[in-house]
Amino acid sequence: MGKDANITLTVPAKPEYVDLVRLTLYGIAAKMNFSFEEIEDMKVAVSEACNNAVLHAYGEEEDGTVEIEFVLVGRQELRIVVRDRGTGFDPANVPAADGLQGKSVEEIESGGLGLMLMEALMDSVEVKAGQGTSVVLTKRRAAPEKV
Amino acid sequence: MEAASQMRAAMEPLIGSFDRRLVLNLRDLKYIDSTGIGILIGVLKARHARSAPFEVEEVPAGIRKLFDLTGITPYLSANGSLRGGERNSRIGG
Repeated sequence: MGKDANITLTVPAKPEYVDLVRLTLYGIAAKMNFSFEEIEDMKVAVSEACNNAVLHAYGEEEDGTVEIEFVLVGRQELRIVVRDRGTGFDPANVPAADGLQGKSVEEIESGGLGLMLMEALMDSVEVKAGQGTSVVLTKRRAAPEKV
Repeated sequence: MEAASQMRAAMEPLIGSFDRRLVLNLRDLKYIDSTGIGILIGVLKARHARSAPFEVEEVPAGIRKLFDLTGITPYLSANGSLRGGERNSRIGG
């Protein structure tokens, strides 16, 4: 697994298929020797990106799909691109991902928590909007390469 | 997210019992996402508006990590210190 490799999964944009994405991610990340905790972090982040696509990309349209591209960058880095072909969205309209800290119960809202979790759990998160939306999630393996 | 509607349906009849303490035991919870945390926030706000307590207990470590990252932890316990994954006897009842 020295060279980059690409694995692509396409699933219907429905909640019941998101666990299939998590299972695929588990297999790939385990093969790359990511730790259990790193894999759990990635599972949450990827699920959040998929949930956004399922909830917001296609409106009432029934046959939308979500494409998940896993890019194995060498042995140390996994880049996951979650891509839909939906209406796209303006990242500027996403609520600020500043968490709930320091707010009263009346003030706390759930909006923006998904993006916040992605940013906290991955090394980098990039959202590209255009014809559809792409979320690029990158995680680098913390443990050194075993010889 | 797939289980969100089931969770909402299960919680719905309990949220409005404002004269009773509501404690959600998360011992067997394997996974939660922002949708699930959003449901907890909704319950919390509904209960808080009527001065009714709402707490969670026996939170597994992986779930606790997500609660801490989002900042919801202090809101889910009476004293701001969430009780962990070990078995605890209930306080009050």
